[in-house]
Amino acid sequence: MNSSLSIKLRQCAKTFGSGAPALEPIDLEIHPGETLVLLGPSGCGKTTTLRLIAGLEFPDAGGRVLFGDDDVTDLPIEKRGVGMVFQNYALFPNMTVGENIAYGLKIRKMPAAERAARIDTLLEMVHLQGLGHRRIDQLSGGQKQRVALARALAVEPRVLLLDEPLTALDAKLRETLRADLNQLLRKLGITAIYVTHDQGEAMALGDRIVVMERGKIAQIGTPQDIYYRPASEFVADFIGTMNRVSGVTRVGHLQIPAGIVPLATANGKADQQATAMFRPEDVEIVPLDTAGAEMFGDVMSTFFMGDRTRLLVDVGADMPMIVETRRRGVWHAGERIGLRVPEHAVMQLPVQHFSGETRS
Amino acid sequence: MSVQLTRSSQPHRKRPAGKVWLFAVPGMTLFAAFWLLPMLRLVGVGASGPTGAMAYLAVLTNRHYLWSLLSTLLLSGVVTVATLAISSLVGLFLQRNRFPGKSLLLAMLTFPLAFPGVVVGFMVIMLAGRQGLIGTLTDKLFGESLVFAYSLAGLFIGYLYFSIPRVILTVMAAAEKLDPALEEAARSLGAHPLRVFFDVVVPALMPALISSGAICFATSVGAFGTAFTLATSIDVLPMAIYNEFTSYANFAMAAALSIVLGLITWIALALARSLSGSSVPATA
Amino acid sequence: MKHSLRFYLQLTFTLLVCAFLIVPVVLSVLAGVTENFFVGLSSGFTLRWVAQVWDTYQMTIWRSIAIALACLVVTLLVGVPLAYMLARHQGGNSRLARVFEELLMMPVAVPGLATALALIMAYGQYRAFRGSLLFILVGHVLFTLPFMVRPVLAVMQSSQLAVLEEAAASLGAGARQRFFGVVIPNAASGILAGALMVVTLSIGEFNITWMLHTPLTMTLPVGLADAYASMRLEVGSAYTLIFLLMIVPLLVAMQWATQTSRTRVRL
Repeated sequence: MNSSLSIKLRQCAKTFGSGAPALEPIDLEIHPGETLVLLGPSGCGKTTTLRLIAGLEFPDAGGRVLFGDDDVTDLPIEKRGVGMVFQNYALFPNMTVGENIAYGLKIRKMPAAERAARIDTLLEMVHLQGLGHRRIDQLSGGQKQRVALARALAVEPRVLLLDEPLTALDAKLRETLRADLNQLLRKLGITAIYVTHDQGEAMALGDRIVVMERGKIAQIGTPQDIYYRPASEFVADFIGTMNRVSGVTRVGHLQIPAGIVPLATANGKADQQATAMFRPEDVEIVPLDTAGAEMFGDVMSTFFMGDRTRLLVDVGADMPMIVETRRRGVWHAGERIGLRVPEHAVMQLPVQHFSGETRS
Repeated sequence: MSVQLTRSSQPHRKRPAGKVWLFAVPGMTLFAAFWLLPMLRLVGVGASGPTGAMAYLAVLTNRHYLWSLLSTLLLSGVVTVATLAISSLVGLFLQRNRFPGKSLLLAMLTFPLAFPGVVVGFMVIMLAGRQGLIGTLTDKLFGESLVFAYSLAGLFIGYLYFSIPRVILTVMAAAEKLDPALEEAARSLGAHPLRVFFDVVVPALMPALISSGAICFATSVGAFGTAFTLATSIDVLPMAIYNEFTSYANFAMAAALSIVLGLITWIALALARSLSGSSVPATA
Repeated sequence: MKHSLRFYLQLTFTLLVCAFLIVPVVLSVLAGVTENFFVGLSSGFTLRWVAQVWDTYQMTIWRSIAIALACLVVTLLVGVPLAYMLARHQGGNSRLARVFEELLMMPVAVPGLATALALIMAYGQYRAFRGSLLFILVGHVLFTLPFMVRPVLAVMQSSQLAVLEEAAASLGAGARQRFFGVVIPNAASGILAGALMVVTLSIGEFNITWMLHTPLTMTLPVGLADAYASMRLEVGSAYTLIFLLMIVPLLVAMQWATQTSRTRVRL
């Protein structure tokens, strides 16, 4: 539809008046046509980064923002040709749906007839045909979001920026719109940058995810990279749930109170204190008496969630082990079960952070 | 073992009406005795003159009164527009910018809110009267002192003086509630600042502007103290009423005119309230 | 911090408006303490004008203070219960309450002239009443009552207070006990705001008072009008100066009161 653009940030930092930096100097490259998700808890700097790309904020001295080959660092947003979708839609209450969508076109002095045609095309694209004359306050949340999207796309922007566009909607609607949004972004092939704190959303929409923490980039990678190979404790904690077990290294495995966890010891040393991590869904429940049972624990509580069951298992450590299984079965509190986790699912961080950072 | 069931003999138990309404008795009695009844009496007095109830139309039929009404309305209208323009610019500026001395500036701008109309009139005299600042300055510069306190211009300045502080506060309160995302959205679509101002900011402020404009208008129409102090040749309606009462002892006419004046201001304020939900004018 | 040209233009405009409002005040204050305003500051500072004002108009100042305080007392006694009724009658949704609110605003919506005329027409024949400070007090109360009721009503309508009252009622407290034990103490911020407003308005009230006054019941603003018309500029200025000195602390107190209540709400 439009020639999509690469975006580069070079050493962009941002400090606001109060002194504490919102963003440490970061380097980021966004490929043409990709959907990049900025993910992290509130205060991590993801919105600041988006606003730097948009041109609503300017980086501290030394930072540069490039759209393709053009240096746009000093251009304010009205000159950057971006399309932006805001968290609370920011639809103009004094204009109808059609007028909202066509606002950018009016600024660019498109003649009325052309504008009208374009409005119709866009309304169709977001499945809101015939609603052009509605007033904004007559729309539902989902409809408002789609009008906001249509408005941003109307001007054929070089890049689409979305600031938590689905956060204000209820869960069910969010899922539906997430799918629609994904489809639309793929079809348009436009470069898109998407900010969210919802990891499910991030993994569903993103070609690549940038996990941010306290103004720094913690990890950049595909959803699979982030999920299966987290680069730090923070990322491991932030994405999904993670079991952590500590014990002593032996040849080929880690000895923990509950049993054995297969672990190719990273540096070959044995008898070291070490921590290993693995996801709840990778833990298998095995019959107690088979050779496959490498760990044992007592069920503390179970949560039936429809498509899976989550068990909290006491394994003689500070924290219970979380096990998720799709097997149909019933487990009772107090029951002893056998567990194992396959080797490929076990992760060990290269550096052990015992820095006292709390898991939030 | 029998279980005792107590049930009210009435099918619907009314919520105890309580004695809350008693709390209003002193206030409303005071009000009825000293405002409501006297006002009703005044309406009667207005119709008790030689022309009877026609006195109420005198404001339209009598040339002197019609002129007074029109000049009052015109003056108030112009003051309202000027005040809205000035106060919007200043109010928005103060709301959106931070700089040292801002709260002092704001205090100085809203200080005149507490001035009665007479003091405002005196301020106009200090600015534009015979010994006024402008008079002495123009005398030094051009050899001829410009004195306009006692003319329509002076009245205009006076009305502006007590209107601006009120509207600034309202504009600032409304500006605080503006969603910055709306302006950012307009900018993201390519609108430059002036465009954003007219397409987004002004429409969003419109209800506040209309309601504070209506209050400004009503206050100007009913203003007495300022006009009294400036004692101009222009007889705004409150002054005309005053003269009828004190100079000509024409009670009926004074009563009728003041009822008409009261209706005008009340309608203007009802309009303001329907647009904003709350409006508290103070007379000047 | 770098500012654009637009910023400085707007700042200049704002400063001009500010000057328009404040310069006459400053001039007036100076005139009140200058020997001869026409000659200017070189004629020397003096308090003789202030002294003259005090000699001539002292009673007006006391009267204004007395009326303002009396007005405060009356509006407190009458207005706070009234606000309670408006907040609680039929759960706060009664049409009667809305009618009362509308009526209460009338003396403010309608020019003071009309209110004063109505009073004179109705009660002018009672000589003793007509010639007393009580007559003026009545006018002031009518005008300032809504300004007491409004902030108190706002506080009483807040869901916080309603819940406290329900808690008290659940523990057995009757209407009067709730009113004095729970409502009044917690409505204090509204009462304070209303009180400051009432006193400030009463001290400055002119439109009604001018019509109602007699030579024996002159208040400060009435005296001001008299001074502006008949006395020399310096005397009028000195008198204005005294007036300003009286209201500035009130305005500062009002600012402070709204600040503290705002921070409390945020917590």
